[in-house]
Amino acid sequence: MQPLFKTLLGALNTLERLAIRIVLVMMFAVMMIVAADVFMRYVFNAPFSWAYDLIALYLMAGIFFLGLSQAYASGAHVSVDILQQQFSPSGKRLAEIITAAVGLLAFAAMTKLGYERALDAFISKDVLAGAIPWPTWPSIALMPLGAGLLCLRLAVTLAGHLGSLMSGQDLVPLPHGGHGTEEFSE
Amino acid sequence: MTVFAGLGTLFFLLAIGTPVGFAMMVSGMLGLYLVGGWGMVGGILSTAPLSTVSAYELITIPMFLLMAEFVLVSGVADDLFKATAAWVGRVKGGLGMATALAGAGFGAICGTSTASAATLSSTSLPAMLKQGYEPKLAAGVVAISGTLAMLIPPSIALVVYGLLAEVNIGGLLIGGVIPGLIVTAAIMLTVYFLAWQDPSRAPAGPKVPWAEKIRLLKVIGPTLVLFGMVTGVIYSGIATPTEASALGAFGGMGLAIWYRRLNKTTLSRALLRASHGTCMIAMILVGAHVFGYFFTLTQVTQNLVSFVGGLEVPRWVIMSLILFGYIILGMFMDQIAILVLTVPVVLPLIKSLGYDPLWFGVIKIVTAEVGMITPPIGLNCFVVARYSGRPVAEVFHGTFPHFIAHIIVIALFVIFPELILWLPSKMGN
Repeated sequence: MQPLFKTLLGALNTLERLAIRIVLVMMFAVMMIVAADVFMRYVFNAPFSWAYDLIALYLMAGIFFLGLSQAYASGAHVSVDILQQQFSPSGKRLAEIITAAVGLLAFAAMTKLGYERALDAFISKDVLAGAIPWPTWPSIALMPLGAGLLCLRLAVTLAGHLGSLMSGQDLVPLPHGGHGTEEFSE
Repeated sequence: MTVFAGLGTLFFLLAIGTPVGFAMMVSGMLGLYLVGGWGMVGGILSTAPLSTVSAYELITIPMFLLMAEFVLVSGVADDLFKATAAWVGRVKGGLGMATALAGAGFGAICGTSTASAATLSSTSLPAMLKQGYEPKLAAGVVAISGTLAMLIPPSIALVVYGLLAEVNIGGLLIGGVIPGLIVTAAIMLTVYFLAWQDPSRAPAGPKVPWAEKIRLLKVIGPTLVLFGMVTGVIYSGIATPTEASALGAFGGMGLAIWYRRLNKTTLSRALLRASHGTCMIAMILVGAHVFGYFFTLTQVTQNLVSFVGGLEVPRWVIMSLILFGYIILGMFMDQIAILVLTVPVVLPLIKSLGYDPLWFGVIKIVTAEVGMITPPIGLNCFVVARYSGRPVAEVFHGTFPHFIAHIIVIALFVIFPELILWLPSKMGN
């Protein structure tokens, strides 16, 4: 089983790295666009009319949804882990299994709903009311893309912890906690 | 019954260590399902995530996070302590006071408390120990001074409160300025008091020649420029907080380039860390949104408000109980988690008692500062312990006098709300 998980985790990491690269570019773009917009408005009295629609519709949605899975994998999502720290290793795995299972349920629902909504918007050619008729489907499509990637991550985590509990092997590493205290404590 | 199912699921998931945002979303979905079936869950789940992340004010979060990362990369903050130490190091407990001042200066250009504590740990703590400071005192003042970054704008915590409570974010940020200065003064007075009690705890520093003092002031320039680019433009009404945050990030990047610290590695690390932080906070806000719908439908809040409204006790008693509750919660939970879990319930209560939500937000952040230094999970103490190699217990012990001082300061803000509300009332549009 171990080689299988290695391959799965490797593939997942590659996907997440690709997604996070897009996130980093988007993050940088938000900063540059907003700063340039303020500059243009005050110096040339010519703000970008497109700036906020572009950022709110595509960039912020991209930063959140495409970064979601990688943030989960690297333990960036904050949790109240004061009790969990007292659990035994199998107790921790059990807790992770519950988290991954309910998370999978919720994000699978989000993926499905997002996909349907994006498809609807694509077929009916929905656009944003404003100076520039931005199409809405790419923005909505980010939701199933990001949530779907997180579903894959949660599924592998779930299977990995279940397999670890049953086989006694360390298929996926134990959580190293949410808000980073253990990273800081000795 | 549905209320208990939703809340029970939430607390169970939180207890086993499920990420806060996931826990709120899942229990909110369960609650909505019990109230209105799948149709209701689907309706909210298909719109809430996108509408939450595309809120205009949310852009402030990634930009403030990015600004903090760039400021760290630039290394400008490392010199802040040297400058303040040269100026006040000679008085009793001077280096401790210099730490508080450097913490305030850092807070003026960086919105996260742990980043500040880490920087101060690597600069001011070794200097104080070398000077012969009692380690407990030195570590304590570093841990508490780091928390000033939460209160003095830019502040991520105040923005999150503003998003949750729908309070004017510009006003909130400006509202943090005077309390930030008061808390800084309180920390300095506490150090002075400790040094006065037992002068051997905090020996005075060496004399610094005037030429050196002047030379060290050069760090103040970039700090002031960045502070002006964010807090200055918000106060004067030149730009919105969202625009100011992007200007701040841009200015932070400029500083990192100026000090020749920006390269491909440091840039992508700064962007990555800021994006992780953004995802984490946005996930919590999305969860809070879904859970919030459920909670509104159950009318728990309205019932609570009318129950408390019917009580025959003065409003300051209720306020004190709320603040006491926050300090206790802060001992066990992450501050952002506390905000999302409590603000939807507590805020209507605060409003019904006739308190100003802006005032309450700033006070809430001061209690959050306390939470950063109280055991068992006071994060800043862990940061200081890690960077200094001192035992965590010693750091917690050292923050105790500051804990007392903070309680007094909070009481002051409750008695004189103008301390918080005056400056925002003078803002330009």
